[in-house]
Amino acid sequence: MSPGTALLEVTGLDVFYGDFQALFGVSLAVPPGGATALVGANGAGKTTLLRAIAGAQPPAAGSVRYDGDDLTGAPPHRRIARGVALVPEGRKLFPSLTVEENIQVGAAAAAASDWPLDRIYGVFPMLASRRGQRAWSLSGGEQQAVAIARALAASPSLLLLDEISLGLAPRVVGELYQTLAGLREAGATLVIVEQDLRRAMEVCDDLVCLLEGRVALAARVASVSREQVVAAYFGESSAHEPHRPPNPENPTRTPRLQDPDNPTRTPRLQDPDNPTRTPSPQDPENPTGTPRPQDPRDQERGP
Amino acid sequence: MTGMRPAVDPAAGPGEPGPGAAGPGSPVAVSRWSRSATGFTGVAAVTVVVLAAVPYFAGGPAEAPLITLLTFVAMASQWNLLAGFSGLTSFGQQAYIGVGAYGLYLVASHGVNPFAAIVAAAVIAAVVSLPVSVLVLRLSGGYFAVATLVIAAVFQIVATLSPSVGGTTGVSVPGLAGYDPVLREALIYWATLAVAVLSVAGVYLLVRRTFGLDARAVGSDPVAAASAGVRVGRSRRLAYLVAGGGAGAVGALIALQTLYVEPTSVFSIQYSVYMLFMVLVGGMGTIEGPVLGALVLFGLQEALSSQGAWYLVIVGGLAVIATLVASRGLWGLASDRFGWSLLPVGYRVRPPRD
Amino acid sequence: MSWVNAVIQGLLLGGQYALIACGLSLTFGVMRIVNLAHGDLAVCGAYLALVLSSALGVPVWVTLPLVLPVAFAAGVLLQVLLFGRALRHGELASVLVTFGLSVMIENLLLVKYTSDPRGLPAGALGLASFHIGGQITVSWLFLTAFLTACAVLSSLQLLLSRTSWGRKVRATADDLDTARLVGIRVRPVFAGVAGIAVATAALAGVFIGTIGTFDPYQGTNSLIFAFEAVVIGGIGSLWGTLAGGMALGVTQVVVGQVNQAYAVLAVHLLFLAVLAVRPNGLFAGHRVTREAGALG
Repeated sequence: MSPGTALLEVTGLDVFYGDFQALFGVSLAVPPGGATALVGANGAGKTTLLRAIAGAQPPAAGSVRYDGDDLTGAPPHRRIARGVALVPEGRKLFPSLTVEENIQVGAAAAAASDWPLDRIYGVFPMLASRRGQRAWSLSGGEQQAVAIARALAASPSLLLLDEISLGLAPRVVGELYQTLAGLREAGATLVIVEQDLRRAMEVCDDLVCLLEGRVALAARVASVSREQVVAAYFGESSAHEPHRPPNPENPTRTPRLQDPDNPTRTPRLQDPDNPTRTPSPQDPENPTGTPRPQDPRDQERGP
Repeated sequence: MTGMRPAVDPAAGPGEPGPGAAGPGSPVAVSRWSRSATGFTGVAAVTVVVLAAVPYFAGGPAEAPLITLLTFVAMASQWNLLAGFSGLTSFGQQAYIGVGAYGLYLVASHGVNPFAAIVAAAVIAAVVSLPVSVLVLRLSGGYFAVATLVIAAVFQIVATLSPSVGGTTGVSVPGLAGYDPVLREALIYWATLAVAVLSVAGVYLLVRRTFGLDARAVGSDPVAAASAGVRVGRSRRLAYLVAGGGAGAVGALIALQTLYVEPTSVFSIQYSVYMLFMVLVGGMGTIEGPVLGALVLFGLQEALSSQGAWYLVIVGGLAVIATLVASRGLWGLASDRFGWSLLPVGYRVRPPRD
Repeated sequence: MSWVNAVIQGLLLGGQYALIACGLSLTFGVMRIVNLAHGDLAVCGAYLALVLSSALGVPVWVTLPLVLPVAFAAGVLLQVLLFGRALRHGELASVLVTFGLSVMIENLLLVKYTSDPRGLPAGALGLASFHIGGQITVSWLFLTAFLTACAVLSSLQLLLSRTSWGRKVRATADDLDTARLVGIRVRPVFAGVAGIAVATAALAGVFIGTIGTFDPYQGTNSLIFAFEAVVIGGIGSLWGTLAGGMALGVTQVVVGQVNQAYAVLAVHLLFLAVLAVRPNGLFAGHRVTREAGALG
C-alpha cells in the first residue's frame, strides 16, 4: 500500500490530557475502501486516537490528513463535512432525543445526503419500528445500531467505530458486523476498535496494535499470526510486566485529585472550545458512560 | 506529581520541612514550608504586635481606617475558605453578619459585656448556620449561590417583622455607654484586630490540615473527591459553619462600630460584593490573596468614595475582569511570576539538586 | 377579596414568574450557567421600554418590537463576550462573573436613573378588569401576562421539540462533548439560547414594570423568584416552571390576603420547604432527564 493512495493518513500524533501523554508519535494509514482494526489493551490510546481523528481531541504534535486535505486542527463539524464520522465508545446517545432524532442530529454537519432516513432504516429495520422511542429504552444492541445510524446520517466515507461490541451478546455483535460488511460493499472505509481479536482479524484487512500510546504492530492481517498480535498487545517483547498507566477513559481507577482530563480545574460546564472532559456528572462511577459488560438485556432478547 | 503520596506527615507543623520523600528512584524533596514563609511568619508576628500598639501611639485617626481594613481582611479570608477552598460561592454571608449583629444586641441587652458578646454572637451565627447548611448544601454551584441569596432575604424579612429587635427601624447597641470614648474606640479596634488575625490564621491552619486538602479537592471537583473517598458532605459543612461563625463575629463588630443595628444595612448584599471582589482580585484559594484583596478594596474605597454608585460599578467590573483574565488574582500572578509563597498550604516538590 | 379570587390571581401571577423563569431555566439546561444577572437584564428591559415609550410617546406595548430584538442581541453579545469566556475558567467562574455583572448593571442603572421607583404606562389596558360571577375580578393586565407566558412557553417547547435547531439544542444540553462530535456547532447554539433567554427576560421585565413598579434593585428579587419557580417546578421542565411559578403566585396572594407583610416570606419558606422535602422539584421526571438513562 503506497502512502499516496491512503484515504486517511495520521502522522506522528502526540496527544496529551493535561500533563498525561496518551499518544506518542502515532502514525497510521488507511486505504480507501479498506478496513483497519485498531486493537490494544485498555488505556493503550485507541479511543484517544479515534477521537483525535474525529477532531474531538486536539493533538500537541503531528497531523491528520484525509483525502488529501490537512484536517489537523479542524473542528469536528468540518471533518464530518469532509466525510469522517465517529461512532463513539459507549455509544453516547442523547437521552432526551428519540431514536429518530438521534439519527437526524447526526446529519447536522453532513455535506451530502447519501443516507436519508429511509436508507438507514433499510439497514436497521428494527429501529424503524422504534423511531419514536426514547433511546434509553432500547436494548444494548439497538442502541449500538442507533449510534451507527447516527454516524451514517452524516454520509461518511470514513467510519470510525469504537468498541461497538462491548456488552453485547455474540449474536447481536454478529449482526452488527454483517451490517458493517454491507457498508464496506457500499464503499465505506472503516477503522474499527475491537477488543475481540478474533473478530477483528476476521473482518479487517489491516491491523494496528497500540501499546501504551505507541504503535506496537502495524501489518496486513493476512501476513501476521494471532500469536504475534497477542505478543504486541501485551508488550511481551521483554520480560517486565507492562506498566498500566492510569486510564483517562476510566478514571475511577485513579485517585482523582489530579484529573488527567483537566488537572488544573475541572470545569463541569459546557465549554464549546474544550469539551474534552467527560459529560455532565450524572454518574461518578461511569463518567464516559462505558456500558458495563454482559448487558443482561442483550442476552435475553436480541434487537 | 500525580499519584505521588509524599511520605510527609501532613500534620507536621510549620518550621519542619518534610523529610525527603522518594518517588521511585528520584531524590526529590517534598516540603510544606519555605524559607520565605518562615521569614514571613516573623514579619507577620511583628506586624500584629505593631498593629496592636496603634492605639497607644497613633490613636483615633489611625484606628478608624484600620478598623475598616481589618474588617475587610476578616471578611475576605472567611469567604475564601468558602469559595476558594471549598467551592462554595455563597453570596448570602450577609445573613450571618446580620445574625451576628442582632445576636450581639440580644446578648448585650441581657447585661453581657458587649465585647464578650462578640464571641456569643459568633457562636449564635454558627449554630444558626447548621440547619441552613442542611438545606443549602444540597445544591452546588450557581444554584447554591442563589439559595444563599434566598436565605439572606429570609433573615432580613424576619428581622424586619420582629418588633423585639426593632423591626424596620432597628435597635441601638446597649452596654457601651459606660466606656470612655477613647477606650471604647481602642477596644473595638483590638477586637477587630483579633477577629482579623483569627480569621487569617484560622483559615490557614484549617486548610493546612487534612481538612484543607479535602476541602480543596472538594472545591475543585466534588465528584472526583467523593470517588476518592473524601467525605464531601462534612468538608463543605465544616467550611460553611466556620464561615458562618466568622461572619457572625464580623457582624458583631460592625454593630459595635456603628452602634446601631438595622435590617437593610446589616443584611446588605454589598458585603458579598466586597467579599467577591477581595477574594477574586486578591487571589482565590490562597491565604495571602484575600489580605491583598482587602488592601486593594480599601484603597479603591478611599479613592472612589466620592463617586457614589460608580464605585460599585468599578468594583463589579474589576471582579469580572479578574475572573476572566487573572483568575488566580493579583497574588496568584505574583506568586506564579516570582515564586512567592508566604503562607503555603500545599506541597512543594523541590527537584533534586545536581 | 374572596379566597377563590385570591387563588385565581395567584395562578395568573404565576404566569409572570414563569415568564421570567424560563430564560433562567434554558440557560442552565443548555449551558449549565446560572445567570445571576438574569433578573437585572429583565429590569434593563423595563428601563429600555420606559425610555423608548417616553421618547416616542407611545404606550409601552408598541416598544416591544424594538425592545425584544435589542434584548436578543444583548444576550448573544453577553454569551460571546462574557459567558463563553467564563466557561473556559470553570464552573465557579460563571457564577462569579454573572454576579459581578449583576452588580455592574444595578449600579449603572442607579447612576443613570436613580433609585426612584418607576412604572411603565400601560394605557387603558392597565386599569381594566372584568368580572366573573360575583366574586371574581380579573385584571386584563394579569390575564395578558399569563397568556403571554403560556404563549412563550408553548413556542419554546415547539421550537425545542419540532425544529432541527431545537434538536441541536437538546442534544447539546444532554451531552456537549458528543454534540460537538456529531458535528453540531455549539457556539451558535449557545448564542441563540442566550439571546432567547435575555429576550424572554426583557419581556418579563416589561410586564413587571407595567403591573408594578421597578427600580435598579428589582433585579435581585426577580432573580430569586425566577430561581424559586425553576427549583419548585423541577429543573429541566419548561411547563414545570409554570407550575412552580403558579405555586409561588398562589402562595404570595393567598398569604397576602391574611397579612401582606408575610407574603414574600411565605414564598421563600415554600421554596425552602420544597428544597428540604423534594429537592428535585415537584415535577421532576416530568421530562426525561439524564438520570433516567443508564445510557452510554
